[in-house]
Amino acid sequence: MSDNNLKTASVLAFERKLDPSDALFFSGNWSERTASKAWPGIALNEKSVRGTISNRLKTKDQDPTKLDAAIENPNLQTVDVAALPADADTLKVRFTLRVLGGTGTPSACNDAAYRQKLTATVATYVETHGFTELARRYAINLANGRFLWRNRIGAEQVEVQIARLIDGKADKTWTFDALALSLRGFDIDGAASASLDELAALIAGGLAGRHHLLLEISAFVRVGAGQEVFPSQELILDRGRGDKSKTLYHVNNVAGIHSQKLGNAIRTIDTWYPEAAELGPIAAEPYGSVTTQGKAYRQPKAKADFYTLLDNWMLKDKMPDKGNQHYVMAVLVRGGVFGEAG
Amino acid sequence: MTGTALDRRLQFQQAIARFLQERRDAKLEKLQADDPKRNELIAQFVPETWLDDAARRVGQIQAVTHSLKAIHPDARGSNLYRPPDQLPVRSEIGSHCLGQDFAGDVVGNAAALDVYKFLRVVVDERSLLDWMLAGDVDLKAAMSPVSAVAEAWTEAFVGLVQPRGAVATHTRGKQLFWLTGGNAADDAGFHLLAPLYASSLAHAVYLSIQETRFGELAKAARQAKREQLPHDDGYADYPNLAVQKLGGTKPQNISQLNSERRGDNYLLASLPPRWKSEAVKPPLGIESVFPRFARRDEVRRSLRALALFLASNPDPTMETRDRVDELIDAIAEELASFAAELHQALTPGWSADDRCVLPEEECLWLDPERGDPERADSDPDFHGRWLRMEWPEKIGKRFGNWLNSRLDEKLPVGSVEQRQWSRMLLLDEEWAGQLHEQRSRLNAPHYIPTRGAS
Amino acid sequence: MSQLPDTSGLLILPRLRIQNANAISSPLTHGFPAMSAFVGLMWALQRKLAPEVASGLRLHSVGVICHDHDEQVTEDGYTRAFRLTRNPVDKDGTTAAIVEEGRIHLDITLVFGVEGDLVNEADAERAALAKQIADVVAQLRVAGGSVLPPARLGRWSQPQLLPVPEDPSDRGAWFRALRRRWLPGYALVCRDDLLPSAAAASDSGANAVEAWLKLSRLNWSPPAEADPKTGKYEWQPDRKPGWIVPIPVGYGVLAEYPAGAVANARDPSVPFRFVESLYSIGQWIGPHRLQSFRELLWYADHDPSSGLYRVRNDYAPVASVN
Repeated sequence: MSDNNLKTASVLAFERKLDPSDALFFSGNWSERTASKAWPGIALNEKSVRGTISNRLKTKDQDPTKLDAAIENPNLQTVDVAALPADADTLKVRFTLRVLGGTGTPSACNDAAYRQKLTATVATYVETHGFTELARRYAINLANGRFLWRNRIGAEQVEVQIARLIDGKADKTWTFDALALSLRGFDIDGAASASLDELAALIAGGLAGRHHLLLEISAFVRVGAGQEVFPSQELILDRGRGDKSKTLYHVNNVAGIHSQKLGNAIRTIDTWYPEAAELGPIAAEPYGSVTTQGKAYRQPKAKADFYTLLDNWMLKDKMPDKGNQHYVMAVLVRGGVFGEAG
Repeated sequence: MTGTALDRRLQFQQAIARFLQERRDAKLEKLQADDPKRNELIAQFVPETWLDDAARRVGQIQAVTHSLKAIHPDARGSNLYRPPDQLPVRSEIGSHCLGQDFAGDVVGNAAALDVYKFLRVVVDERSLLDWMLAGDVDLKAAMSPVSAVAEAWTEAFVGLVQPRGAVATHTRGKQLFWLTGGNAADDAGFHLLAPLYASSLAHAVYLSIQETRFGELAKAARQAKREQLPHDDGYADYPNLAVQKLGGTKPQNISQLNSERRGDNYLLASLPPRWKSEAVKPPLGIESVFPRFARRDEVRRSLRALALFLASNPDPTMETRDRVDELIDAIAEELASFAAELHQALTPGWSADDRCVLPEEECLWLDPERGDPERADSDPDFHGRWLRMEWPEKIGKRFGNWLNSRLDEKLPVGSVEQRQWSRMLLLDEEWAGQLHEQRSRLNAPHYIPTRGAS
Repeated sequence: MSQLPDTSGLLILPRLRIQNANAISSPLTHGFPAMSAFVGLMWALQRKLAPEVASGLRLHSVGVICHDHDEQVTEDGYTRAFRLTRNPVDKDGTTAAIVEEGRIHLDITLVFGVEGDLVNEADAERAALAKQIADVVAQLRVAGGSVLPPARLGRWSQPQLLPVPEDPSDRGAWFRALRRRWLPGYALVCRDDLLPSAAAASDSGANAVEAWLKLSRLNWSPPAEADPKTGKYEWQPDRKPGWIVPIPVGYGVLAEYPAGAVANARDPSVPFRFVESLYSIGQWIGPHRLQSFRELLWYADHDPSSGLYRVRNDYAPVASVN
């Protein structure tokens, strides 16, 4: 029952449905995890480093004498650093995640017919699949500590505790050995499976709007006393001369990871794009872009991008394959401005 | 044609010729004397030829006072030309404040900017564009003796300020709903507002701030202040002034004025004060917090006012009494604020530090959660004494003594004692009420007032 | 000019922690979201209430007390720059245009002025209702930011719906007890009275902008005489009547269109206006200096004849105690 007159709404926007807080960093000892509430925050420090010449030199600078001079006069740069204190071997990363209902309901849409079609399409998807597959993948990305980014690399042990908060108190808590869960795929069996199922069911219910869901996530990363830890880096346009060359994120002088960065890790569930078999999961983004690589894996040319898939589905009743249906829904959960204004 | 009209026509013709000649000569200078392009260039700047071409190219740009791209660089839609003197006069600050003295902005193809510069040429205190908009016949006559041609050009040029294409906003533009009816549940009660960037106003603000920061007068005054010397003028600082970059590395994509500002958009600070600064240190090593309290600006002001009033030896009337009460109230409320800051800023239990030499009642008042049973290192004895609620009266007494000493013992008898100190110092009566059960368990007396009790 | 509607109760949502609220409140101001954003939140909230609640409780005004704030800006140098999160990547893998969005973390108490029958319910019902509304707010965007769960439970965090005492002579003590719970913090009130009058502004156009800028900055002037002891001239900044700041207060119409006339409007069924931001002066004052809840609350006003959409606040500065 394709409606040839249907057009994409020129104004179309969705709120994000997985809403993490910023994560904050605390330090303590692995053996004292149960008392982690009292762990102190990790403050940032500044340090001076000698910049080395590593950028590609322009041809005119390739004169050997000039190069020597440049190497002998490296810039003194100030950068932010964060590290565990000498008497603590474990980093605790804590944040909350709010799961909101109403997936597929736009926050702005200026075309009633399109809105109707969208609602019907999402309803059909939910009827067929529920949010089970998406929720399971989100749950796994919490349990495997993907959101720790660089802090996960080289860790001896990583434990992730996830609590459902009701009226500020933990109603139920799950504990995961994050390093036992792969970052490459989402086929989990064994010990963690039952806990993941419970957690996924709650997330699915939250996305469907069946209940409010607020999770508290605490990851304990045993990296060794005094080791460097990695908060988010901040981007500052138009940095003044002599300013810091690297600024790290902090809240009231406690190092942290931006909520956007956590959200990106949690929605790293897309294994349905063309090169997924070799490259593993990427974040659900409209063009499959991966910021850290400066690449976009879902190209419009290949008709693999969100807009092409969504338009085909809504306007031409060409339903994407199952994987790409999940992907389109995951982009709606992500939220954004998707209108087609000229 | 009257003599004046003829004069005006000549005036316009000269202005146009001067503009074209300057531009032509600037370009000719860059060419060799024997460059064949010279003749081509000279031909281009014959007024008739240039005007005809300009009238065609003017369609590539639009003069605006309010632009969309500054709101979001990817937004495409209508920009507006609303001269400030045609806007309604308002008591708020906005573009209307600029009156006739405003800088117009241009959006569109930067290659056609010369046409805009032409239209901004000033004759007799107004721009050529303004004269064209006013339908000036002398200017038309100056442009071309053929009236149909002059008409057509004028029409094209005044199109500079007309919106281009169908009126539109964009999904990236800001759009917000405003309730004009009484009922928020009724969709029909709303209007949709699409804010545009007030480019001319922003430019006026920018120029003023630049002058304040970098102007010669300001520099000299700043220097004099640094050297603590006398000077004719003052200068000003904008605390927490922020710079927002519009258009990133390509400010010219946003607009002409934005390009002139190198994409810098000044934002004035609305920030609230920050009480929670590093300045809130635990009151250690001092025997009372009242001297610290006395240094607050508000306290100093109220104390001065109270001292002055009492020194005037007012008659002991009801009004005098009320006035004194009011001033003491202001100081007592400030005391509550002072305590709340310490409660919020300091880690509970700070008063257990060995260096704390405050009397016990000040500790009980300022560190109420030291005894909170929910805390890991809670101090049950301290909590018991807190719950006994003898400390508020003691603080009230200390306050009265301190105040009286500051006022040379001139305070009317009873004016401090009568206050309900427990109400005032508990700050949060509900929270105190929640401790009711704990109080029962600890067998403390039951006279914490709760809301509703007087 | 309009004034605060009749208010029979207050809905208080204490100590909300908001993460990443909009710090850029207009094209000329930053550092705190515009009051119109909180008024917009109020309308969104009213629309989210269950019909049986909405019919007995109308939210018509809102006040804000800021307890703490952490704007994400650089600290060094004369001007602030915004600290951004990473650049987005475009479809070709290149960096997309960066749109600078200022962010600020806030710790605020929101107080809504309400009227309706539900304020007369018993304590337990009102407490339950307030909690229910707080749960709704937790799922909304507050000035573009997310609501985080409270950092500490118990002591400051319980939402309340309270009736305004019927007897005006009881209101003073009632409000004094309330406002102490909002310490420490600062409430935003409107100081239109500090701007040059409309008549003066129309006479001397640009001077009104200059007067507004003068109120927005520290103006240093030299003393008439040197300090007799040191022989030096101690420059002083001008004294302002409290912590006053430039603020956006709403919008003025530039062009009006009927519903459906403007392409790409968010909703083709309502009238459309191109507008510009309008500005005034606000003051941050300790809540213990407010004489009544009327001085705290802001409400929306619309004047069709002049095309004005703005927020208003009935704070009346008391004569200084000096």
